[in-house]
Formats: sequence, C-alpha cells, structure tokens
Amino acid sequence: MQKCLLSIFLIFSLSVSGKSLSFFSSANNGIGYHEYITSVRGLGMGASGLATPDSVSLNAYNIASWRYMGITQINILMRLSYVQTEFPGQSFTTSTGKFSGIQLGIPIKPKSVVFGLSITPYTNVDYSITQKLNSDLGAYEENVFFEGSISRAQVNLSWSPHPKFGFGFGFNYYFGRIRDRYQLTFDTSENYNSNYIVEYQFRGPGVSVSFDWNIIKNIYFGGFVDSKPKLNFTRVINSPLTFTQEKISEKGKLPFLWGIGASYQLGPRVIMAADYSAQKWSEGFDISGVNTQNLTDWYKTGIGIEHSHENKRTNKFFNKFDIRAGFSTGKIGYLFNNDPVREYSGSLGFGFPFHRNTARLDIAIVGGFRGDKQKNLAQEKFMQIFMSLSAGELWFQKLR
Amino acid sequence: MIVNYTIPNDTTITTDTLLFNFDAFIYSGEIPKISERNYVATLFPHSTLLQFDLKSFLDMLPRDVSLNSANLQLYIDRENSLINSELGISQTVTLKLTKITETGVAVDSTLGKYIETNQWGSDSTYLEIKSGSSRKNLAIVFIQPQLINIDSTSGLVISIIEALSASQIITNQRDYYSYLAFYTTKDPNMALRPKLTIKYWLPPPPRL
Repeated sequence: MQKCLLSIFLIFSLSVSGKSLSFFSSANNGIGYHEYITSVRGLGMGASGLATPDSVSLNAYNIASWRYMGITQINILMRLSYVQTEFPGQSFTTSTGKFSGIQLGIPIKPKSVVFGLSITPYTNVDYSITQKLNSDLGAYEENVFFEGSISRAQVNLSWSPHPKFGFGFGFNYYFGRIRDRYQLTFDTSENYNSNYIVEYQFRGPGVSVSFDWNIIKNIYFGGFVDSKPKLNFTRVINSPLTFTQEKISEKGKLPFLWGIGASYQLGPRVIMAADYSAQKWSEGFDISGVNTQNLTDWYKTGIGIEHSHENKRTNKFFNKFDIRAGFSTGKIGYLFNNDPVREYSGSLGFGFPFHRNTARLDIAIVGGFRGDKQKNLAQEKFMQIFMSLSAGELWFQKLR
Repeated sequence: MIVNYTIPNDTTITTDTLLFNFDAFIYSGEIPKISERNYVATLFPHSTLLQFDLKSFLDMLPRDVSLNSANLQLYIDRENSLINSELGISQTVTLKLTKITETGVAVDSTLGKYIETNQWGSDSTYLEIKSGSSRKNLAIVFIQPQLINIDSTSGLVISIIEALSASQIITNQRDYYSYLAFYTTKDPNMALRPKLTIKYWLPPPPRL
C-alpha cells in the first residue's frame, strides 16, 4: 500500500461564490461574529448609546437605563446587510436579512422599577461558499456552509432609587448552535460524495449588572458588566467514516463583557455620546483542548451626536425627526493571517417619533470595512441598515 | 484425413475433405506455477488472497476522514501467465473475505458483491479495478467496513468469476483455460507489489 495515499493540493480554483454576514465569522477557534447592538439609536450614533437616556427605545446592554420608561415598551430590531467580500484576486457580493433582537420592558413602578425580557444576538455565523476545485481526487464542487448563532435571553429588573441614578440586574441564559457543513460533489461516478457536519451547541446561565448615572445636569454615565457565563458546550460530529455520531460535552465560559459610556447634553436637543466596550477573547472560551491561537481581544469604541426632534408641532423639516451621526472602530476578536481584524464604520441615523412620542421608528445606516487584503488576506466592505420599531402602551397601571 | 488409393484407369479426382482441424489435448494436473507468484486460474481454480495493513493507514490519519474511492493494482508476470486471447482478463473480480486465516477462508457471499478487476493499467503491466463506480464501491463497501472494525481478519480475494474445475463439462465460452501470475507482497521489487490506493477527503479540524 502506498504510504501517503492522498495529498490534497488544490491545483486551481475555477470559481468562487458565496453568501455571508461576514467571512470572518467563519474563524477557526471562534464562535462567530460578535454582535454588539446597544440600540438602533445607538448604532446611528457610532455604536454608542450606553449613557443616552431614552424613554422609548430599550438598551440591550444597559438595563439600568430602562428606568426612564413610563409605560410598557416593546422593541423589535431587524437588519439588512450588504457585504462585498474581497480576497486577493477574487470578490463576491452578498446580502442577508436578519432578526436582530427583541426587548420588552414593563414598568412596575413608572420611572422607578421596570421588569424586562429580552433576546439579543450574541454572535452570528453566516458564511457559505461554493468552489469548483481540482485535486488528486479529481474535479469536484465544494460547498461549505457555516451557519448559526449564539443568543442571550435575559430576564431583568431596572431599579432607580433616585432620579439621578439607577441600577440594572439581569439573569442571562445563553443558547445557540453553530453548524459547519461541508459537501463535496464529484464530477465522476468514481468518487463517493462527501457530506460532513460538525455542530457546536452552547447553553448556560450568566448574570449582568449595569448602572446609569446622571452625574450633573448635562452629563450621563452608564455601563454594564456581563459575568462569565458558564456554558455547557457540546460538539457533535457526524463521522463520515463510521457514519456514527460522536458527541463530546465539555464545560466552557465566555469572557467578561463590559462597557462604559458617557453622554453630554450640548443643548436642549443635541446630545453627544461616546462608548467603549471590550471582551477578552484572547482568554479563549475555557473549552478543554481548544486553543486560542486565532483569538484576540474584542473591543468596540464609538462616538456620535444626535439632534433630536422638537417635541411640539413644527414646520421646520429637520425638527420633525431625530438625526444622528457617528463613527466607530474596533477589533472583531480574531486573528487572520496572524493579524487582528479591525473594523471601521461610519453611521447615519434617524428617529421618527409617532403616537405622541410613545413610539418611534429608528433607522441606522452603517457603512464601513473590516479586515485588510494585505494583512488579513481578506476585506469586507459592508453597508447595513438597521431598523427598530419601539412601541409603547400602558399596561397594568391604574388610569388616573 | 486423406486416404489415397488408385485402380487402373480411375478418373476420380482426389480432394482433401478435411473441414475442421482441432488440436486435441486433455486438461490434467496443475497450472505451471513458479514460486513467489500468486495465481488466479480457470479450470484449476486458484484465487489470490490479500490483506492490507489498514491499521497503519488508520493510525496515520490525523482525524476522521471521508473515503471517496479506492483502487487495487495487481502487477502481472506476463511471461508466466496464460491470458486468453479473446476474453483476456474480463472475468477477474475482487470479492470480500470475512476472514483470512490459515485454517479457514470464507467469501462474504451474503453480500453477493464483487468488484470487477478487469482493467489493464496504463502500461499494461498491472490489473486494476474497473474505472467508475467500482472504485467507489471498493472504498465504501469493502474498505470502509474493515477500517471501522480494524481488528477483524477480513480481506480480499481475487478470482476469475465462475471458474470451472477441469472435471466439469465445459459448455460455455467463458469456460476457458487461463491463469494469471501476480507478483506477491514480498517481491523484492517494491514497485511490483500489489497496491491499494485509498482516496479520501480530510475534513478541516473542528473550529472548537
């Protein structure tokens, strides 16, 4: 028998096509692209928003800021992504639409105690590629699908013992799965077509705390810490050789996620905000036998400004709705080609209040790029449109 | 046969009435064998048993693989073979053995599967599995079960399908006299030893 029976050297790649939320979400040792959306209002202000008071839209991370709510609010987020992925010599463009979270806040005591529920995407993996390849195996088509997500469900309570400050407490439950699927379809009957699937399942609890502090009249501070959730991690491999299912369960953890922000009310209807959030992904996920060589620390920092609508009837066009703009930068937590992948984006946002300011349609248009074709051997230019509908209604409270 | 006789004034034309000519011989004894060769033969059925060291192949793999195809190449000593001029090697097959021990050999007839091993290699020095789905079957039906149950004594047997013994009445065109001498697994020339080539796809390492 020949000693080395097959070496897979790809001779050439005939064509590439695919779809992706982000190519970088497929990173080895990774759990996908880290989602961080405080609110669509915050995205319009350069991914800030931890310390911008809001009585209509609900912040996904700073629960303490829910204390401004007077009536029950529900928030639904959607996103449309348009991504152009470029590799040296190749590029493709894709678009996807995704549900991006829901929050429900029910004031037990208006502007003091708010009970809430939310589901927020934590990471997302969505990348698929089809390649025509030629190797020692002959000509074949390789279809690769990386799909899945980890989400955070939260039951929370916001408490404001004083109008100047408030605290938020959340019980989190992380859940989700990521599935990597490889399909090889050969041009001839000589080869058996391969189908190989590895699924990673995650679930486990964690807690979070947050604060919101109106330190002086025009200045607000806010922040949050999500503890290290203890995860039950299961890897399920459908063996192509034995056709049996191999299931390995391990314990794991996600690193602390924390963020801090500040905002300054420049005028009656102009607010400026800046945030910094970070997570030490370089620590890895504490899963036995899994190294951290492709991981680096994740962070996102942003700054933005908002000109809000006039809270009365007006003929001036730019006073009828909120206008926001911002800029953000960060590292997505992965090394590609031993270099951290950086992301830069600019944003524009709009808020259209309705129903006597108890509801609002927020739109954020975020455009930018991540990665570098020389350093990371890949770059993505993206344009994302986020929409959130926040609607309010009086629940469980006596009408007076 | 012509018998000639003459009588005086006989005008009969003498002609050869022979219509057919047969070289008559009787099969007996054994095919002519030399040492250090494995044989397959008709009439005096011989089969070649083979077992490959799949354990060392398995040990060599970094992780689970997906088998795609396999090929068996058997080098033939043509000087010591008698290859039928009409049928050649068309009836040569590989079958699966349930066990390959000194005390007993059993063909896996329950599966009723065989793989046509009737294609000349590119330089006509070796016999190989027929191109196409036969190679896929060799990988999935024959090799994969052995890899799963690596300690089993299963193997392969190379035969000429439905070879008759010399004592049987020959009624079919395929019942011909033929034998192939294969170089063995111990041949000093490594290049002439039987070869099993397994093509597989190595999945990328798990992300976590």
